[in-house]
Parts: sequence; structure tokens; C-alpha cells
Amino acid sequence: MTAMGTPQNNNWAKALMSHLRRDFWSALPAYIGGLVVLFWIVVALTAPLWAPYSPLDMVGARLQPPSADHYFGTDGLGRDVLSRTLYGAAQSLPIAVVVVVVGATVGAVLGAAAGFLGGWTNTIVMRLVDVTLSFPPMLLAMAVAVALGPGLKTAAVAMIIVWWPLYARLMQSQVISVKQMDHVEAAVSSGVRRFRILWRYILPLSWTPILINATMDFGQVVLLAAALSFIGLGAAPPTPEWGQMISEGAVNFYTWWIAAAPGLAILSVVLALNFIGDRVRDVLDPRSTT
Amino acid sequence: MTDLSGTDLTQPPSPDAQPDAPLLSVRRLVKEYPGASGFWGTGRQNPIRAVADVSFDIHRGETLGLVGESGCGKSTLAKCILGLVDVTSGDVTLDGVNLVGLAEEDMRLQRRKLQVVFQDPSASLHPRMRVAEIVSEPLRLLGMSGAQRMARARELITLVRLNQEHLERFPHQLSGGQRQRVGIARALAVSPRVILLDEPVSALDVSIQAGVLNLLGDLQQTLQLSYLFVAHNLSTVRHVCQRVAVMYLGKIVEVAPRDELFSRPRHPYTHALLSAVPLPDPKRDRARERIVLQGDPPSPANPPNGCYFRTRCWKATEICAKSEPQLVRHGDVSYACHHPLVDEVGD
Repeated sequence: MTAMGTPQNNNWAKALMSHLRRDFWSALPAYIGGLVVLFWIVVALTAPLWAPYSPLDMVGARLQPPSADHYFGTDGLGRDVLSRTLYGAAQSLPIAVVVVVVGATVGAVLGAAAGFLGGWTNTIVMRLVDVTLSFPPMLLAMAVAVALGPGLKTAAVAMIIVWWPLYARLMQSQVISVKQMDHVEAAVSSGVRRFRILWRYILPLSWTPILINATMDFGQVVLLAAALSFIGLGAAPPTPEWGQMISEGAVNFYTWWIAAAPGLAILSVVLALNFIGDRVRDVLDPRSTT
Repeated sequence: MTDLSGTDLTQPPSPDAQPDAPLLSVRRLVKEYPGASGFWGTGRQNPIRAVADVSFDIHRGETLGLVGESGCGKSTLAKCILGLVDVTSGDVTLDGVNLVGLAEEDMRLQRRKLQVVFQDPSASLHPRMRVAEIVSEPLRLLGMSGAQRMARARELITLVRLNQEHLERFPHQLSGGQRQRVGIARALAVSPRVILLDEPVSALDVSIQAGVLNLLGDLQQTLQLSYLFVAHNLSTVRHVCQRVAVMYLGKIVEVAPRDELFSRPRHPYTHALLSAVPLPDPKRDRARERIVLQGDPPSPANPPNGCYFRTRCWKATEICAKSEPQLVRHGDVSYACHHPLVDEVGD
């Protein structure tokens, strides 16, 4: 911290430092999670620079256990597992981002409309939510993915269809409860326009649970994407994708290393995102702070 | 229905063509909530009449108090007038315009004449808006520019006796009394003719209630405002109102000028309410006759036949069960009772 220019800069730096000291320990898991996520983002963007081998070529003997040449061994076709795992980050992570962002946006918009407008809009949206949620999520995702044809993009669409109702229901109940608060009735009575009521009075107090859930769901989406690939509905075979790799490794118990690297990768991402999600909730939701 | 316009002692000379016309007049207002139905969709209960055929007038520059115990329909009546709930039947006429059944946008435009101050200022102010923005929000109704709104916000904050620096604060950085002053400033922003005060001081500390009440009184004088003052505290009502309406189970049972009501209540219920107000002098307080009503008010879903108050009234006779007393005007005073406590000496 050498921001000693203007007094304002200095104050800002001081505030940051005192904040870090005060909350450092409670925020530590989130920092670690942030570093892990950052690591995987860098890997996803720059895998070719790091990976010792090409992910698609046969670079050694088949089914070799971990060694100095291949840190995580080779798979059934003699491909380097470590290289495939690093390249796989570029497949698995963007999917999760797209699913969570699109799912949360669609769900929040429809849920807010249902809660604010009520009446027919509410009935239609919420019955659609009920129908979608009454399917087991995996089964619905499989059905949609099969109907649209295999591939990572259709897997993403399938997951969005499974995911949006959770956000819609959350947003609807949140909007309805904020709508009945005194300050909203006061705004209506003082003649504020309807759309402005929604935008300035209801939404700012309704969206935090959506953000909290989105961060927490991130890990789950990575897992569901892996599960879809595992049963052959995600990435097509030669593509290095984590769930796909685990399914290849699961064929043979004695070659545990094939599934170990992508499994650890998923574990680290999901754990890191949960740490971050917990922290977001602690900061944004005043009710859960001690 | 009986004409309820009481004699208005404080009415200022009006520039309008009809100087006698009331500013806000409520006629035969009814608000029913549908009764709960059973789990199997059978056995729907009686609708609840929260407001049962209420009529009254408010004149220019006048304060009408509306008192009654909790659950008697005061707040529902206020919400009906504000258009926050749909009215079952009846009319609310504000300055010649009937507010009942207005389209949303037309109602919004009428709100520049009718504003409200809510009971709990910590709940009725947007927690993440600064005071300047809270106060200037209603000004969008008048189509003012940002700079004009800011200038008006500065005026308003002075008007309610706060300082300019309060404009930059958030509600949680203010005390309860200051918050309510912000609520009053918001209500004054568009220069309304009528302000509905829904228990404006009952959430405040006793020590600051007087300050807010005096502020409301002074503003009324300088700005020629009319107030509908909803309250359950009779001492406060006595302090600020020129006329008082007493509500019981969704109906108005007595309307009278303040001094008349407090010194010579006609309706037994009014008398019982007054006798519950503690007197400052303990000797007098102990010496007077105190009326303690038996039981609870009946359910508005299943009111008694005849007079609603007869189940708790010590003067009730056969006729009270047979016919429902209408609110009848006797000079300045109107009451709905078969056995009024004071005979009409003056009439």
C-alpha cells in the first residue's frame, strides 16, 4: 500500500487496511476461494502455455500410472491426463457461468414480473415454475438434452431450463414481501409512477438473495454439467471436459488416476465457490450476521 | 343518509365558487374483505365489514380527528381514501373529483392534492435513499427538473425545522422525530390541500411528540392545510383537532366539535373512551366515575343486530336490539344512539 498521493487516497487505503485487519479471519476462506477461482480462470485462458502435452494426441503408453513424465498418468488412449484436465477448464467453467448468469437473469425477471403484476402473470409464471420443479432436475435436464441433441451448448440450454424456476420462485416471494412494506405504500400514496416503484423501491431490496443463491449454485451447476457429460449428453468424446473424463475413468477401478485429476479439479472449484458464496451471504444478508 | 357537515368554525374565506363545499367528503363508504373459506373450498365465512357505511366531511383548513380502539377500521378507512385498497362501495370526493373507480394514472395525478404521513417513520422511508431524494420523489408528479426538485427539497427541509445537512443523510442516521419530520416534508412537497395523518406521533417518544404536533399545527396555519388525524390517543386528538369522529366496529357513532365531545359526550361509547383517559390530577382521577366496558368488541364478520354497541352498553334496551340507530345531526353534533347521555338542551 503506497497510495500516499492525495489525502483522499490515503484515507481510502487506511479504510481498506483497517477493514482487512478487522474482518480478515472471517473473510479468509473467501480469499482462498477467490485465489482458487482466479487460478482456474487463468488456466482456462492460458492452458496451451502450461500443459506439458497436447490434450488430444497419444503421447505415451496406454493406462500408465502417475510418473515423472506424466504427473497424473495417461488414459485409455495414451493421452496425458494432466494436460486434458488443464484444457478441460476452458470447457467446464464457461458453461457454469453462462448457466448461472442466464438462469438467474431469466428467473429474476419473470419472478419479479409475477410478484409485482400479480393476477394472470403471476398464475402463469408460477404454474410454469411448479411444473418444472416437479420433475427430478437430472431427468428433466437429460430429457431436454436428448431432445436437442448432445453437445455442450444444448447441455447449457437444458441446465438453464432446469435452473431458472428456482430463481423465479425466490424473486417472486421476495418482491411480494417488499411490495407490502410501508415505504412502498408511502411511495404509491405520494404519487410515484408504477414502473419507478418497481425499479427504485422494490428491486433494490429484493435482488440480494438472488445474488447469494447464484454464487452458491455455481458449484452445483459445475457438478450437473459434469454429470450430463458423464452420461454422454455434454461434451462430445474427444473434447477434454471434466465430467466426460471422469466417466472414462470410471470404467476401470484399477486405473484410478484417470478420474482423480478432473475429480480434484471439480472439488476445488465447487469448494472455492461455496466459500465465496458463504461470504457474499454474510456480507449482504444482515439477518445471518452474528 | 344524513348530512354530516358540522359547523365549521375555522373555515378560511375560500376563493372558490362554492365556499361551503367540503374539501374532502366521504359518503357511505363500505369496505368488505371476503371471509375465509374452508380447506375444501366449502363453508365460506361471512365477509368482514372493516368499514361499514361511513360518511363525513372535512372542510378547508380544518382538522378532523378520527378515534377508536384498534381494529375498529380507522386504518382501513385511511387506506380506502388513499386508494391503496379497493373500495367495496361508496364515494370519496376530493375537491369535486370522485376518487373511487379512477384509473391508476388519473388517481396518481389527484395525489398532488392528497398526501399522507404514516405511523412508523422508520418503516415508511426508503432505507437506501438519502433524505434529499425521499423528499423530492413526489415532485416528479409536478414534472420538475432535477435542479428544481433539489431547490424545493431545501425549502421543505427548512419548513419542517431540520438543517440542510440532513438532506445528505440516510433515514437510519436520523432520530425518530427527525425521520417523522422527513415524512412530513415528503407529504408537503407537492403542496397538497389535504394531508392524512395516520397516527403520526404514536410511534415516537413522548418527549418529542409535542414538537411534531406543534409543527403540524403551525404548518396548517401557514399553508391552509386540512388534516384527517387518525389516532387512538385522545389527549393528542384534543390537542390538535377542531372536530372529532368516534369510530366503533367500522361505523362512526359520534361526530362533534372537540370541546363539545370532550365535555358533553352523547354516545355511551364516547363516554367510555373518555373515562379511560388518565387525568393529570390524581385526586380528580380517583374521584371520577370510570366506565369499564365488559368484554371485547364483537367480530366485524358477525356484528350484533340493531346497534353494534349494545352488547357492551349499560344503557341498552329492547329497541337497541330491534333497530339500528342512524347517525343523526343535532346542531353541531351528530350521533347514532337511541339513548344519548345528554339531552339536546341547545336545540
